[in-house]
Amino acid sequence: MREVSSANKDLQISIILIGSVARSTHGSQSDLDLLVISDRSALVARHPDQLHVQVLTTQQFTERLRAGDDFAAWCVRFGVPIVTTKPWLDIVNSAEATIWPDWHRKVRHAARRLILAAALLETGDIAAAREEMLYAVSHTARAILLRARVFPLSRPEIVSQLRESNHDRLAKILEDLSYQEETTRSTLNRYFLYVKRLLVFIDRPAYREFVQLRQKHLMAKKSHSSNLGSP
Amino acid sequence: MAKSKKDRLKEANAHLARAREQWDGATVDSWPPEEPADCVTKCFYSYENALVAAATGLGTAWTKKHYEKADLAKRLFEQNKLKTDISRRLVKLNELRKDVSYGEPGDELSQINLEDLVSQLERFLDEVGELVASLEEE
Repeated sequence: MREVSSANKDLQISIILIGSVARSTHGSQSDLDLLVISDRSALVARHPDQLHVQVLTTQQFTERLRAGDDFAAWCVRFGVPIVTTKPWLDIVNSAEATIWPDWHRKVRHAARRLILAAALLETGDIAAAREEMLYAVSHTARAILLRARVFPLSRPEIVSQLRESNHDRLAKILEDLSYQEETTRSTLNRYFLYVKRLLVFIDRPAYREFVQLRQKHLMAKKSHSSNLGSP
Repeated sequence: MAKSKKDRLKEANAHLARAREQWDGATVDSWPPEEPADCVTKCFYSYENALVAAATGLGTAWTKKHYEKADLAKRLFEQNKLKTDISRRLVKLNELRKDVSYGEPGDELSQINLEDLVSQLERFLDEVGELVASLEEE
């Protein structure tokens, strides 16, 4: 914190504890997540350990709230301020802070991570595919809960929230991916199919739109690659 | 039981092949219309696989934790086993990847030159390829 403050002396900086540590539900493998908010872009050094710092300006953060971003909405609801300045207080007391997140965005996020997980699985990198699958499942869980007007808490709590909403299978998948050491390729394939079906079920247009956009991009890339190959 | 040199090199080549396949994917993501989030994520895993290939070939122990792999990269560079120190790149790519994991890609991601990113990675893959080949010749 001292490092952040001294590197940005002329800025009004707020530092907010977020993630499972803020909810006191963290485990030994959990990252320590911090949000740094300032009136202008702040300089924050990167750390090669379990500390993850997200840096945003007040304007960027407010735009996210306005757009229905659940991460920003989570921070204003459950973030624990460590250093508070006026810009953060203004955000927390703003009309934007009360906006309910747009769950359709989470469907698109989940679809992106799901397709990435499948691509990594194709390379045989089970560990990487597993990590991306965890993100995909986590986004899917958030979409489902937000759609049911339940605000998703931290990942360990989301497992219980899913069970309470009768999504036992998704809860089990999230639990397995979060806490089991290993997952086999066939298990990841099964998870992929299940999550894909779930996304299509809850929001077919958003899922289809995302996949179609990816296909369109792929076609454009094919034309790019043939241009590269031409003499 | 310690693995034989033959087994170590076989495993190193498998990791390197995986790294090259992920680089292939990242290269396509770097073409317009760019997919920065996917490109950065694939580059990150490709770097890690290449690093593991080098460590495995050299018989150096490694762990699954991302930040410990950054330490390993620094150590192999300081021991002159690798010519390039990729520890900072690993840390940066991991952070960018995590930023994206929350949902929306951050501003920093849009400022990254993806072509440079995949070119740098390609050079590192070549470096590790040469290292593994030289270990096979020993």
